Amino acid sequence: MGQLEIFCAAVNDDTLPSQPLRNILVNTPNEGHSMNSISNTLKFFKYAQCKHTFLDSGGFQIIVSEEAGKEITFDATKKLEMSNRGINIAPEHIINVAMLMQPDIVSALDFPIRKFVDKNDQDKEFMRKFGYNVTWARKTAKLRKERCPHIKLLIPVQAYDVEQFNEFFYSIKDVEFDGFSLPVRNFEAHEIALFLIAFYKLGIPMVHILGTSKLLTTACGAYMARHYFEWVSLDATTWHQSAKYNHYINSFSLTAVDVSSNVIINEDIKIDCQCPWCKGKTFTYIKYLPYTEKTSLLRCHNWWVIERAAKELYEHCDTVFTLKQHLLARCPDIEDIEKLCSVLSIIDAMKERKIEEILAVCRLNSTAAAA
Amino acid sequence: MLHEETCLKNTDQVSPGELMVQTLQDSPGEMTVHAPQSFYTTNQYFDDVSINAIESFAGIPDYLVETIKSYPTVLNTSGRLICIDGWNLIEEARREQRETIRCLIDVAENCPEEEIALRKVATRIIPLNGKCSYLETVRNIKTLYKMLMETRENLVLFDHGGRRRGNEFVNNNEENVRLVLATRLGKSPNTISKYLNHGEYLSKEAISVLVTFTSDPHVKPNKQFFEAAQGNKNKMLMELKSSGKSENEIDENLSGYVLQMMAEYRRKGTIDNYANARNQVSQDDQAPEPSTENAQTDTVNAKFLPKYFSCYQGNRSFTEDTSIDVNELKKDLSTVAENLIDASRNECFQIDIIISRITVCIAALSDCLQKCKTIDLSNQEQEGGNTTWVN
Repeated sequence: MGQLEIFCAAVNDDTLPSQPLRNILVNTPNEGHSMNSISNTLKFFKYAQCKHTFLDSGGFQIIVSEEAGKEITFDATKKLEMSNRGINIAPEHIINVAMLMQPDIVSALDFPIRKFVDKNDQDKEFMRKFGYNVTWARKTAKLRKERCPHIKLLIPVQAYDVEQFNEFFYSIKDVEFDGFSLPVRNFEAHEIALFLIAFYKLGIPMVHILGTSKLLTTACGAYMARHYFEWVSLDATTWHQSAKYNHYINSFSLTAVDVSSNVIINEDIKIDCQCPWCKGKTFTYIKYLPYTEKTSLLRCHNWWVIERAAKELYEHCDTVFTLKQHLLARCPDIEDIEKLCSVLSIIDAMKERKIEEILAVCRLNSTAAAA
Repeated sequence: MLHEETCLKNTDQVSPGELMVQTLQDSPGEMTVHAPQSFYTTNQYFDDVSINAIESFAGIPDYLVETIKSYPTVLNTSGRLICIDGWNLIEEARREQRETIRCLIDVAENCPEEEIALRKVATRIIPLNGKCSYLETVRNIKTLYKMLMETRENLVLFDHGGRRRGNEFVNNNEENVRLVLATRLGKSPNTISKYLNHGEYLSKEAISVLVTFTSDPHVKPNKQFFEAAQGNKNKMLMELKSSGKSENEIDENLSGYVLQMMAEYRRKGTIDNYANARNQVSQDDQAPEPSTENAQTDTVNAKFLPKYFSCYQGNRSFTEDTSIDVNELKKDLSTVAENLIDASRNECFQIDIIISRITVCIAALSDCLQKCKTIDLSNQEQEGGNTTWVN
């Protein structure tokens, strides 16, 4: 039985949603660009009384710069920089920041693949970034081993499917690292489950799912933590982003509920949430709070329900059947629940078989179910 | 009684906080009031009134600064004469041993306490009788809000034609109270919310202490103070809620913090950022509301058009029953077996159909396996096993 941990990302001392805050994720370009910034981050970790810290590499900032047509350089001899003009980042920067910040986990530098639907576009994008991702994974791992071997290293998986992941893994299999991190992009929870079982079959003990707090993805992570891995973690900025747009996260389904000033609220709809911020309040009270207070309350509430949901999901992961019963009680997406639980139960039944066989049965089953 | 009726034809307001009664001019100089509803001012005049006949109204405390008017404003309701502003003038007349005092009298029948309170607050918000301090407005609106939330009267009676602002009553009492306050006090619902927010978690005792500073000519608990204090208040609230404090404890703690901040404000003219020890202040907290351009693909107007609200309340009809009927399970197993036998014996089946059949059977078998594991687990638990939450 492993650990399930939820990391709070995009947080600072003005947006802290609870205290203590158990897990915090920061990223290299934002929080590691200067000594002052690193020092402030360390003070913030202390103020938040967090237990686990995660230093993400900054791959996300590279893709944002790429999509915005900004200049991207990877020059280790120049300083780490992120500005309106572009970004300069290299594995050396990440390990340097990690040495100063001493997080529990660091992520290797990666060049994220963009979202494409067409298979040809996906193949081209995968190949275009493949060289960078292999080189940087190897380089970061080498530096980590030399300079801070006590910090856990996760390697980001930039692949559209398990077959592409296998190719990537083949190129880094001699490297020393602790686990993989997986950006979820457009993956459904049952697709993530297939990646996770592929990691498990390779003997990987530690997995981080990047940038999500969806109920079914968290459920998948919780099940995998209970039965397959020593550590599964997730991180998200949803709590913060939703609050910014006046969105209250539903405590059952973790979907967004609009509480903007122009919604017409029927007072019969009561708040059914036990969080200290909502308890005893009404949706109308939230709706009419001034913007700063509203976002503050929503951030706190949103974070609380995400953490609570993860805990409850973990507790209900004795078997796929118990997980499914719990999900059916809290989420209306029956079809998606069926898909995830079906994949999890096939994985469970076939976990001793080869990954190719598991994938084949899962895919055939999903085709048969769709038919 | 000597009546000097005031002509109200060109005014929007006939009495503090009240909108004009719809009037029709039947002939020049003649005014007819049509269908007055409860609590409307039906008449307004000056008169000399016996000092002993005038009652004070304690539902809203008297203002610190005296009225700018040279006469008290009195509400004549159900035979009672209630002073809603200028009580100091009445006391002065009493000291001078005068028997009567000239008052401006509003007549409105059957006014309950809430209506009297509304009128008293409005005298200084819609400045007829002079302004009051920001703190008094915060305190009074907090009091009025509580009164109206608890009233057994129909809120429509207090509204006095809220459609003037395009507001309409909805199926939401809390919303309607805000609309009444907004309409009667000439403020937007958002401004009312801001006053309520500034008064939230502020005890009566703390307000009493703060009130003593309102006469300070330099540093007083004004709007700037409340706005400066609000960021810190939010952070402290987060800490107090995180530590599981009750609402009473939060009231007590936050009131204390606000008084501390007031002391600091008086000393330095500013308030330090509560979390400033780390020399890092994010701009995020005071950021303006972001554009919803990226958040929603609707038209620009979508932000302003009314939207109906819904919130998923969980599947209440679904009971999380993890008990499994073993006979049902066995039936499922035999169905799988029959399907496999069928696939093996049917000579018409092509290989793709056989693959499909086998796959469906594997999925069904996996499902059965999960049910078996669940039964097995519950048997173990009954024998004393337990589950441990690692995180």
